[in-house]
Amino acid sequence: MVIKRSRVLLLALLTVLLAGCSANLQKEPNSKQADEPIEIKMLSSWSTDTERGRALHLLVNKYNEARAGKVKISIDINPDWPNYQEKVKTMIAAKQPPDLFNYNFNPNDLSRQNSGQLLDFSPYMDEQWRSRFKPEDIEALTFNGELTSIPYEKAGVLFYYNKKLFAEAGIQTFPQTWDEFFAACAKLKKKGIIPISLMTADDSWHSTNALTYLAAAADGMDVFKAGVSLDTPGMVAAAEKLKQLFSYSTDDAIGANYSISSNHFALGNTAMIIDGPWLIGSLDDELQKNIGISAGPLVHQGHAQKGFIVTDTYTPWSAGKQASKEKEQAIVDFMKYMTSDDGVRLMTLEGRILLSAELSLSEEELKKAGPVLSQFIDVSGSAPESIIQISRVLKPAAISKLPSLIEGMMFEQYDPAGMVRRMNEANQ
Amino acid sequence: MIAKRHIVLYLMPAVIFTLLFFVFPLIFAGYISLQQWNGINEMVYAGLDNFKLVFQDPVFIKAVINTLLWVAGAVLLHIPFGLLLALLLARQPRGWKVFRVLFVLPNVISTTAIAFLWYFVLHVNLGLVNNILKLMGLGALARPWLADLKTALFAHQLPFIIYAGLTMVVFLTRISAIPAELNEAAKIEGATNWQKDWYITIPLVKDAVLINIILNLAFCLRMFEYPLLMTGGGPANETVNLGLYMFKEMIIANRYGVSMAAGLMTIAVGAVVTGTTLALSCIMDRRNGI
Amino acid sequence: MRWIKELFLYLVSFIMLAPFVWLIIASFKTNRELFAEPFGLPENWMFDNYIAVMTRHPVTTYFLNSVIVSVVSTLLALLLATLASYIFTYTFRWRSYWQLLLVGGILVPTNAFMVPYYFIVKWIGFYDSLFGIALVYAGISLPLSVLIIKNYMNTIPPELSEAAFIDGAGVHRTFTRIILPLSCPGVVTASIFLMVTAWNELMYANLLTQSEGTRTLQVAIRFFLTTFQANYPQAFAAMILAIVPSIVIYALLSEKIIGGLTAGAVK
Repeated sequence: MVIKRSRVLLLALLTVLLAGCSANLQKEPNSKQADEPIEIKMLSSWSTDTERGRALHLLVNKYNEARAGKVKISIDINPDWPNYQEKVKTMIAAKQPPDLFNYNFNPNDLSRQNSGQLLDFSPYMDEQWRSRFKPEDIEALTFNGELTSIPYEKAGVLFYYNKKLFAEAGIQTFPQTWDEFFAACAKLKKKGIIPISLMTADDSWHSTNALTYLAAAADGMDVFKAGVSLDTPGMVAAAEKLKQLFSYSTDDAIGANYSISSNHFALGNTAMIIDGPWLIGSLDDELQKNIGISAGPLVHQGHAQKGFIVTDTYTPWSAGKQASKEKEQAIVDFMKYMTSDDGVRLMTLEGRILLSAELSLSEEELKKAGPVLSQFIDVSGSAPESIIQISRVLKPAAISKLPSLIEGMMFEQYDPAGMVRRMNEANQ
Repeated sequence: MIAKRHIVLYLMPAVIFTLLFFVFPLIFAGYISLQQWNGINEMVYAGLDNFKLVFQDPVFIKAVINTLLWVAGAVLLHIPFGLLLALLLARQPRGWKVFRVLFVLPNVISTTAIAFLWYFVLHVNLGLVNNILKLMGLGALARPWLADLKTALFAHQLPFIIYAGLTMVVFLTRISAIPAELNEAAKIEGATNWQKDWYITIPLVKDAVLINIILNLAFCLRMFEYPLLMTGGGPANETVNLGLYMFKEMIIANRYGVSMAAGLMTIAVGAVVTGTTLALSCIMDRRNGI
Repeated sequence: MRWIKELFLYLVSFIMLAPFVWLIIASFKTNRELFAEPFGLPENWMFDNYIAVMTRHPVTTYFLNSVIVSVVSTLLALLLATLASYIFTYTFRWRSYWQLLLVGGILVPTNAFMVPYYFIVKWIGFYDSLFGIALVYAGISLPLSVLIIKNYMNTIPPELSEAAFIDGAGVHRTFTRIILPLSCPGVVTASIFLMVTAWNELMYANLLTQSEGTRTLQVAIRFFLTTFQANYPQAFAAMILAIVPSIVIYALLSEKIIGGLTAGAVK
């Protein structure tokens, strides 16, 4: 009897453990039979609550239909972008890279490329496929002769301005220099209009956009280049101007997150915001008619060309190395479809996402894209030069410090020069 | 005495878990804290560099202080508030059962939801607090509670302090175990309710205080949700605590070694704080001859 | 005097619950209404937000995931803790050291083990599975459960097990027939604490899962807020859908839960 009891206990324990194990085993890919479709799991942050998410689902469904019975792509959504980015890194660290994922490319953080876990696309990069991309994009993503990332999105981050509010303050055109810009802000403020949406929570996105524009206008497009000191007079001046800009923002700018900041603009509380094309979906039709899009203002004796823009970094797609050749080919085939003319057209028009692959839109299609997106495409397309947003190119340690450094400057814990010095130190 | 096989049989499962989830992680964390590692590529031995970096980082010092302030918030505000609620409900006023259920409710809902909700309650324009202040003609007091250096720390602890339901129940449990005769005797002596509470109830719930302190210490030392969701550690790192510091170093800065060096320091802080509490309680017990 | 006390209780209830009422009202608004007039009632009470959430997000799955994780982790921790606590009612060599080993973990703020836990779960092959999270929760909660249950068992008079021994009951029989039934209140108390902790945990649930199928409620709520970045009312609707079942369960069981805490007398 006694022995039996102990056995029962042991059994109970084992069952619990085994139940877990078997649940896990089911998840392992079954050995493929010829008639079973190849399953590819694609990670994405674009939930179906967003236009781009719906467009991606449409695209994947189209592809699955065309390859019915052979390939099945399923999308796993993790809408929290920073969290998703870290997940990918940890999956690579555990030598289980995802089948397909996208990420923010950072020349200062090549841990993914150096992991040896990613699929090299270069053998598949034939002339036809290569012609879909700008040569410099391919070049920027090639390391040690390996192309582990397919260029996809590289969205401009541009000035949105509310023409109606500008007109109320008697401003006709978007300012061409930062001096004019601040003069315009003063005019708006006088009329009781808050000039610009800024924020400092999370990654401090709208504020670091402004900082990038200010820094690039002064020091040119190489201001954040790896190995170059950030502690320059141009950067200090940029930080000073950023501080000044906060006095033209909402009273909740410090501590505001992306939603609060962008909602201020979307509801017409503020006259300007600096953001990417994904904001367009949050603006209602009435407002869209009054939106102007512009490139960055210049500074006196600055090193930037007129019409320069800030862009988000490359957000390319990468794939994990595959044991099965068939699956590898299936992944390549899908990537070719995604970057094909059809695929890009669908994502641009339905998902309002600006891609780095070549695409020429007809007048009619441009019109269909809506007034804001067509301006966006226009301004991005005619920019003579561009710079990648600051919080995408610094070392991770500096990126994580940047928002609190801006807040510290705003609370007078140190002056703009002190803020720049600390930022530079964190970037070593 | 008991046969060895029985000891092994009953004790081993728990010991295996403890080894797996406490002893081994401690060793592993110690190992990583000596490495420079981004989580993906090769580790590079870095000696005590990570510890040096952590100790020279003013943000880390701030995080230690804030963690201690969380503990202080628990001991000085949260637990007394829970005790106050328990004392009031123990007198069984009208509807006390309903109040008891309502007060515990937030603890079973979701910390994540509460943290986010209070972000809105305290928001400068949209927030309940500022709008009530304005309604009462106290608009001058309105401020961005979570973004103001002076108030952020207290403001982001507020939901934790207020939602003292579980703490209250632990006290209530103990109070209900107090023999009724004691209170009746006091009543005959002509003691007021507050006197009864002060001289009879509170001394008798001392062990419940200790339990609550230990439970809340554990909770505060691994506090993560409120700073992450309400302030993100801001403004200007004013509300960073150790949990968030480690998380940021690991997840955003990708410095696993630094993160685990901070982790070991967190354990040290936890051991010191809890050790002090237990020692104090022992001393007090002895003094009272219990 | 009495009315001051009552007023105070009502005030506390108001402070505790007003935010939730606001949340409910806000979830019926449009985004514009929310930001223009945060405290006004919605112009028309629309269910669009709820419909949008229901059609696009598997809220039920998230809820069930949370239930599974909390229940499995609690059962596992209780199993281990009752076994160990029982054996501590006997005397044997190095007993106090073994106790210290098992209970000492209560001093450890376990989020210091972010990196190790991640790799442990990875190595034993439970990354991105509900069982992996449950395992970690059980590990984290073990010291507290041992503490509560052991202390409760200590209050059971040793004469009872001695009597059982004289009647010829062995170690196992004494456990299942005498000690286990008698320590039920302590076990219930521990289980409530464990359930509440597991239910609310965000960090490890977030760290150890990836896919939609293993997402717990807390992680989902956090994600709602990022997904609906520019549309908070929808995020609110999602949050309400996510927390309503727990409120209902609590309302149904509140007497049992609070009673359980009371009877178990955390000692």
